[in-house]
Amino acid sequence: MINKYSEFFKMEIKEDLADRSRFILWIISKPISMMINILIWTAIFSNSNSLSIGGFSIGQTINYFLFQAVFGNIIFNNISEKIGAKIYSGELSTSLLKPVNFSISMVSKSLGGRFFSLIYESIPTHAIAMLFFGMQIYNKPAIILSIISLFLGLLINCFFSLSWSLLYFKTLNYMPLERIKRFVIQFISGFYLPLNFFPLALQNVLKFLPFNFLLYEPTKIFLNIYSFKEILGVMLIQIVWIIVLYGTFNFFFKITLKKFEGVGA
Amino acid sequence: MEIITVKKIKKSFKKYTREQGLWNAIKSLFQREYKLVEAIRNISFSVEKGEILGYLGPNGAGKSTVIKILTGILYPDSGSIEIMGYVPFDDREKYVQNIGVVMGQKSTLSWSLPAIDSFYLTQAIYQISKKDFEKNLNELTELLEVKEISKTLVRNLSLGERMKCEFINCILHNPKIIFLDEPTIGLDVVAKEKIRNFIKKINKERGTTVILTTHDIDDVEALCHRIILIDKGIHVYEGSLESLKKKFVSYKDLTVEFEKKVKEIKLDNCEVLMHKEFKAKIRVNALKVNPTNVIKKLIDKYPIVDINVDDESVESIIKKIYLSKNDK
Ligand SMILES: Nc1ncnc2c1ncn2[C@@H]1O[C@H](COP(=O)(O)OP(=O)(O)OP(=O)(O)O)[C@@H](O)[C@H]1O
Ligand SMILES: [Mg+2]
Repeated sequence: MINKYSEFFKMEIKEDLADRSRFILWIISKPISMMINILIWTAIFSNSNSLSIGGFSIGQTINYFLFQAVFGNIIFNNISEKIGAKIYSGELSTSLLKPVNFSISMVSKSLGGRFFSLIYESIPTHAIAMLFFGMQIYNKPAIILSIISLFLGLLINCFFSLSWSLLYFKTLNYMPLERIKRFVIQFISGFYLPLNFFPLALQNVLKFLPFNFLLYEPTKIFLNIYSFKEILGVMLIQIVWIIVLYGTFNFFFKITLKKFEGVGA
Repeated sequence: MEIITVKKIKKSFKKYTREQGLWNAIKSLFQREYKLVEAIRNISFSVEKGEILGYLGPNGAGKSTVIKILTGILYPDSGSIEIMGYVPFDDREKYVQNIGVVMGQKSTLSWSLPAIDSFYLTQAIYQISKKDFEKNLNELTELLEVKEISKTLVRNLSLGERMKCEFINCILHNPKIIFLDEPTIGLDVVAKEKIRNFIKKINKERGTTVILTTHDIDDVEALCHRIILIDKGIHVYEGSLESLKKKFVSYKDLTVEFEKKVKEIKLDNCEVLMHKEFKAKIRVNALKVNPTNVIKKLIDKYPIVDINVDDESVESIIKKIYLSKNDK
């Protein structure tokens, strides 16, 4: 049973290994974006009178963005885009012909891809961030727990993306919906700005959505803001979201497949 | 033993239509017009275990739709299907473990890897034991001569090479039924031959039931025990190829060689298609006269050295059936 899905995991790693140009692009582009973030936030803090924004000091803010640059990629995946393309091209038919649970096979592939990116992309850039950009590690267990929490965030994102992609069955052109999803997720998961920089009202609304558990909360674990008990609390909520979204997907997937038209010869 | 039972299935699709142009594209965002197309209109049939069934019909007849319904990809709007005790679309995950599917225009292999990696994925998801897998893989790669090919990136394979790998990938888990939707499309004569022999062999040695759609009559003549003709979503013929011929053959062509120059050929119920001094081609209307009698007459009347008799081709019979249905 496990063996079934671990092969999907390995398959994605093999496919990623076949595309070496990605690794090179990553190693070139990440230091640049880290540099830009450091320059921007140093400028913002030096022009403001307070020593902290939304409770973050300059050091924490810079570390927040370094962590996102190095490890943030773990939670992003292209599941919904892949499904959109599969529906559009009719390739979804061949996926349905395999004796596997569709969502779990897609998620296994994503986990494979993200695990690959942790080893081949994040760890080298982590070294760069520590050596050249002064990335701090506050606490060794915290970084490990934050990465575990990021993987839970990835699962949340996977099952959210799967559920969202069911909308693509209803449209001939899924790309606009895909772009909206991507932008909104990056925005309210704390990729562009830490969520505590947002107005309080918005923060309160976001508390009831799964998105701050993708990136923002794991990053706070890394920044050593939480006690061990609080960390377990975050992970527990993450697990609850995974279960809820998994259930949501399976419920609507059954209904959607009944109307699936399986385009293409 | 009946392995597939299909009763009164129907399926219609919404076909969205819109006029060309930007304005109409914008309009279609808000209000989409569609027509309901009845792709399958009331089809029933059954298939015996070990049979090779040819599923034929003109473009848009509904062949692929039937295959998709039988393989559990699509839900029919009404009707019932039972295959090996499963209802395909309800028991999809368990059911597909027992079938293999090759669709000529769709790939099940990973584009950026060698085919062998996809074979290993197949081994894992169908949970094929190592021993069976290796035995099967060796046998199949030898049969189709793809030992080297399966180590090349799939994207670098030619169509024929890729199709051979698709076949292996679909059969590795020893399915009880294989569904082939235009498996020989775009292949050269040699590759077609190889694929046909392969299908025959699998059918014979493993007793695998085969359902195959094709536009290539040679596929049918080489393989199928029985054929079904479908047009506009309904079956228009079901039976063996021989009885199709018997029932619908309307002419025979005689190719005749003369000893001496012959100026004119006159025969009742015959049409002279070609006539050169020493050679002629004559089409006998088989509905009106017995061709044997015509041949006797020919021999009596003319100095003949050689006669060749050709049946009306299956292709032309089928064309006639399609066209006659369209007249109604
Ligand atoms: N997803 C779909 N949406 C709308 N109409 C469809 C869809 N799939 C098939 N159709 C329509 O249903 C009819 C049957 O299509 P199908 O693909 O089954 O034909 P076919 O017999 O396989 O033809 P071909 O020989 O060209 O492959 C056609 O009129 C086609 O346009
Ligand atoms: Mg077709």
